[in-house]
Amino acid sequence: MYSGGYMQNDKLDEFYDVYADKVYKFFYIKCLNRSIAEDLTSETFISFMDRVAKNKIDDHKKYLYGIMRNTWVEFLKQRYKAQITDFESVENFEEYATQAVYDFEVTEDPVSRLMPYVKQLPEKQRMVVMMRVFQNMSVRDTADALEKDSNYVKTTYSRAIKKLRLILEKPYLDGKETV
Amino acid sequence: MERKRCNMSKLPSDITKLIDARQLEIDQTFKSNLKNQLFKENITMAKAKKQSKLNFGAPVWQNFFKKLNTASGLAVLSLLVVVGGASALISSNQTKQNSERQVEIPANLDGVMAISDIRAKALADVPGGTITGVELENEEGVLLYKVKFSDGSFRLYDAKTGQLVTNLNDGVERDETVPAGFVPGIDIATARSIAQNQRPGKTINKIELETENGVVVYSVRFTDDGRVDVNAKDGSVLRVRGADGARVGGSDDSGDDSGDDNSGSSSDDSDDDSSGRDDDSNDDNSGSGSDDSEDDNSGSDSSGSGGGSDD
Repeated sequence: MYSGGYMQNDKLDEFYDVYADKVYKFFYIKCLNRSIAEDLTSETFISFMDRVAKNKIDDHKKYLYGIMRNTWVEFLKQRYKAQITDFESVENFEEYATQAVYDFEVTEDPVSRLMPYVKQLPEKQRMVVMMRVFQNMSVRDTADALEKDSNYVKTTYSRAIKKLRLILEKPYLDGKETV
Repeated sequence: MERKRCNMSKLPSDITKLIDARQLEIDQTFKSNLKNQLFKENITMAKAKKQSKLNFGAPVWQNFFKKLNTASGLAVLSLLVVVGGASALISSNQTKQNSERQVEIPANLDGVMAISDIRAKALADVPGGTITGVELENEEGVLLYKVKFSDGSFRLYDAKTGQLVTNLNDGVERDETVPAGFVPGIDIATARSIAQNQRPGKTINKIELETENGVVVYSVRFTDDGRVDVNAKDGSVLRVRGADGARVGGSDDSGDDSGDDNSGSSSDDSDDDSSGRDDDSNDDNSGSGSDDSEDDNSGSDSSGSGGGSDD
């Protein structure tokens, strides 16, 4: 399929495996949002593969990083074009936009950050965590809602925490990995 | 129902730190899905944008809910509903409406130039050119006419002022030609309302004047990939296609919607020829901030720093 450049398809395979992580990390650090970082990572690689097919490339890593940076700048422009009137200096613009990221709620809300791990808990532990943490319910209210007593809630909660620690020690698999 | 705020401080700090660290790691499922798309499915940028539906202006909940199409996502949804996340569902519909408005061709087309006028302008700009199609699109709230030529090139004009927006040549499209001098029997606003009546409540995002099986039609496209073809002479409805691609009456044909891929005005390819080479940004070794160390939060925000990455 992709025959351009000096890198054959299986090498591109390996290249992707190594650099997908790095590209994702770059975007995540910039925007602190997994969804957005994933979308930008996809965009970067799609654009990269498209160009690899059409051009001869000497340095694939440099090329990829160039596209990655452009993708980030384009994202900022798209997102903040209402607020920013001149894009003349890329450097200043990035500074402004980096600050703006924190103002404009790009960062994930805590629930969605925690959810992939909580999903992996057994049902009873999951319910307790969701009520206590996501819903900010008191021990008493949680016990009433589950028709149990306070001791049950506390014990189940502490077991859930222990389990969460185990879950968090594994690589990120979007809830597929079970402890 | 009042939605209580999540209280992360109830969790021990080592857990929250672990969560933060994990966020820096790529999701293995996402990684392998993308790999499949890149290497096996030959995904193009336009297709990906359609799938992603990422609207950069929308609140984060929209992105979260886009993942609900997966099986695990549906499990999450049921959990949220159980614990009382109904208000979250309402807000996701709201953001969907906002993003639809960005692509929708509005019912009120006052001030929009007639197709025949745009064709005349395009022909004046490209003497000797043969127009194969004219599309009305909404790009980020701006209505544009895309005039396509027989050599695969196209020009974008502001639909109200007729001003040339860009004349990118991107990709090759082979439509059946709309005959020169063709005078539509109905105008584009009428075609729009005829099509909307066929699929009420659905959002229209493109209207194209093209020839299908020898008949000149307004091909009205919807955000859910539905389509209604309206005869440009007499307004009769020739084809109605629903969201799942199923035909709902009308004539059979082998046409497909792949012509949508070359919208051209998104940021993907237009001035990316400089990527990887010297250009306005300060240094070539971009990509700082991505290396192998786990806790690399060095925040390489400025464009100058080129270190950190290795082979």
